Parts: sequence; C-alpha cells; structure tokens
Amino acid sequence: MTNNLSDISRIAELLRYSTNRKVVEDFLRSKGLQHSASNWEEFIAKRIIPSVENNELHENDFLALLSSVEEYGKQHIFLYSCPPEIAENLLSETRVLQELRSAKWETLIESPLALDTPDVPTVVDVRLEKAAVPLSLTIKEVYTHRAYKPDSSKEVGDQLIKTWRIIRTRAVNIAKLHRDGLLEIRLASVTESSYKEQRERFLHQLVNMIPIHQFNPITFAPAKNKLSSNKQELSQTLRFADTILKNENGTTFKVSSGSVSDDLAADEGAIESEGGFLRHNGAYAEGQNFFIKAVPDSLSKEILILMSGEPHEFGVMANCSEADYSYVLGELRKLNG
Amino acid sequence: MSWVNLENLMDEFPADKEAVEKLLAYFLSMAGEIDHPKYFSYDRIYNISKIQSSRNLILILHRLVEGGLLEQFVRVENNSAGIGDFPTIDEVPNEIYDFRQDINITITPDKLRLYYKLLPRETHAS
Repeated sequence: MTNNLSDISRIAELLRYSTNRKVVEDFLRSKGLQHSASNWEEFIAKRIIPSVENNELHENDFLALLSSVEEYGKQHIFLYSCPPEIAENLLSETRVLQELRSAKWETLIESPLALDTPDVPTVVDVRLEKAAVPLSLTIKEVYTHRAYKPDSSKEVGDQLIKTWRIIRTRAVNIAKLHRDGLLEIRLASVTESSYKEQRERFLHQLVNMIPIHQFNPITFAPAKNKLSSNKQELSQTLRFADTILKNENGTTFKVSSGSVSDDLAADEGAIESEGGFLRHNGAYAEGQNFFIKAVPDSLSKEILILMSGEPHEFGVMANCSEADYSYVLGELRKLNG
Repeated sequence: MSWVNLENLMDEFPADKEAVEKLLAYFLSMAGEIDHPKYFSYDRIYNISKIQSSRNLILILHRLVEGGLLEQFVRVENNSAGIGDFPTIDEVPNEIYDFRQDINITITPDKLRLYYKLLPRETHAS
C-alpha cells in the first residue's frame, strides 16, 4: 500500500498534526489569500481546501509546506560528532552522488517522493545544501508507525481473549550531517516505541551514506550536571519539571514539579534536597526534563525538552519551526559545552 | 589479565593515557576504602574519565571487566528505580515483579540499563 500524497484533505490533516495553525495561516497570507478561522476544522474546510479547488494554490504548494514543517519538533534527537575532515569527505558531492546511485536514490536529490504510509520505511528526500562548498547533507525517511489500542475482550471458558486495534500513522525520520562534524538523527516522536530500535534500523539503512562507526555519541552529561547544580541561575531562561539523580551506591533521587506549569527552581526544599544528594557518594544527574522559555525574536514559544533517555538523546516535545529548533539545538549545545 | 595489572591499559590506549590513569586511580582508591559495592553507569564513568571516544571507553570498560576490577550487569528499572539485576541480557525475563508497586510488569528495552559494579578490595583479592 505505497500511497502517494496527493489528496488535499489528507495533506491538510498531516499539516494539522505536524505544525501549528499560525504557520499555515502565515503561508496563506504570504500568498495573498484569506487565512482567518476559529479552529482547525474550519480552517481546513474554509481556507485550505477551497484554495486548491479554486485553483488559487496547487496541492504541491501545500506538500512543499508540509515537507518543510514536518522535519522539526515532536522528535527524539540523537547527536553524534566526527572530526570536521571526515565530515568534509563524507559531504563531497562526488561521493554523495556515487552513494546515491549505489542505493538507487539518485532521483531523490532532484525529485523527492511524497509518500503517505509506505509498506516499508522509505527514503523520500536527499538534500545536499551547498554554498562555495557542501555545508550539510539531509536525508529524510517516511515510514508507517503501528501502535496498538485495546479494542475488546471476552471470556471463552477459562480463556480471556483480548483484541487490539492497529493504528497506523505516518512518521518522518531525519538525518542531518553538518560540515563541522555534527550529526543529528531526528526520530519522529511516536508512542509505545523503542527509539533505540528505530534509530539502529535507520542508521543501518544509511550506513553507506553516513558510516556511523566514524562518529562518537555526544553525551549530555555536562549539561545535565549544570541543570542540577545551577538551577536557580538558569531559571531566567529555563523552567524545571523533573530531575533524576543517581549515586554510586545505586540510589535514585527523583524530584518532580507538581504540575506542568510549576517550576522546581521555585521550590527551596527541592533545591536544598537536590544539593544535599549531589554532595555525597559520587552523585550525578542522570535525567533532566525542562522547558526552554520563549525568547522574543528567537524562540516563539516555551518548549519542553526531555533529557532523560539515552546519554546522547534529547526530545523536543512540541511542533516547532526550523528557527525554533535551531535555537533550541544551539542553546543545548552551549549548555553542554 | 589480573586486575592488579590493569595499569597496562595506559600502554594499550596511549591517546587516553591520562584519562585511563585518572579512571584507574579513582576505582583502585575507592575499592580500597569501601565495604559495600559501588555502581557506575556509562554516563558516570564518562564524567569521571572524560574519555571522548565512546569506542575507546567501551573497550577500556571491557578490559576492566575482563580483569576483574568491575562486574558488568543489566539492571531492570521501572520509574528510574531498580527492581532486578541480571548478569547478562540473555538472563532477563520477559516479565518481572516490581516490589515497589506490588505488580508484575512486562520488561521492555527502555527499562534495561547497563551498570558496572565495583567491589571492595577484599572481594577482589579472594
């Protein structure tokens, strides 16, 4: 069931899932079209679909928008690095084109695919961003995620028979290699999933384009420790939700804010307890979940960051623009420096 | 390889010689002072050693386990707290009793953590 994305209603639904309405409103405004609506349903029915039916825009215009917005936010990101000279070699246009031909992906660099829910994970887009020299390589994959929702159960004799409904959703993974050696593996946030398995599968698929054995994971251990020891200083720009500390006795210390709108940095008892735990038995921060506060002209809204998975992983738990994502990535790398 | 000869590691990893020396000093000194085992995650060992190459750090840890200074094991964690330790991944069952909540839970990969155990020096010598 490899189905191409061409129906505007479906494209509109995916836009709704992938971004916020303001982004699409701004897109319509930039085309000189009406863009106001009170909710997503009305927006799709009265603004998006009519713009195509009236030949003011084409489905491909919305596809291009979807392609750009679905690459940022609601993702688990794994960071790696390699020496810049290795990255420069991997980004060589001659090598990239040769590997694309070997993988039979050479057409993607000119004509990306627009797939909805393919049967198997499929690379749909490859972009080599260039100035005087190649700057970065982006590879995009679409796959169909299967989640299972309890449906019904019945007793038959001594047996309880349960059934689950299979929920199929479209998911997008991105790999981006930068000239300075940074490699981002950005996996779509999907519930009930092991990101480790997903990541290993994706990296295996890309192994000739991006040989992962030449990279080292970038651990966020320094950032996590700063987030514990400098909470009150950092509270100007961050808001803290969860802290997980461990020590060499194997003891776990976990402190969580009361609600999604609270801030651990405002709780003197939590701060004192955390400081006390950190002073003994080689204690260290293993996990931190926090919000980066909105910054005028830099970050359009507050964004939740999960940093309690693997050592080189962070999660961006909101739809966001490329500019928002770039700001978040830059701030996390500074914090980790 | 005996754990007392682990200093050969510095020759094996010349690029990380100082970091290996620092890590060994940390473990050897602690092993002489403690009377209970100490537990280290990969992140914690990275923090102590600052060895940048993950490949080298994994190899060094392998040598430390091989030499008997550390023991590697898999811990099942639920809500960040340990509920069962197993020598290898193959010995982890599909389901486990969580004594903290009085429920059986299905073990998924996200609940598994690799740890390294440092034993008191008397234990090593015996």
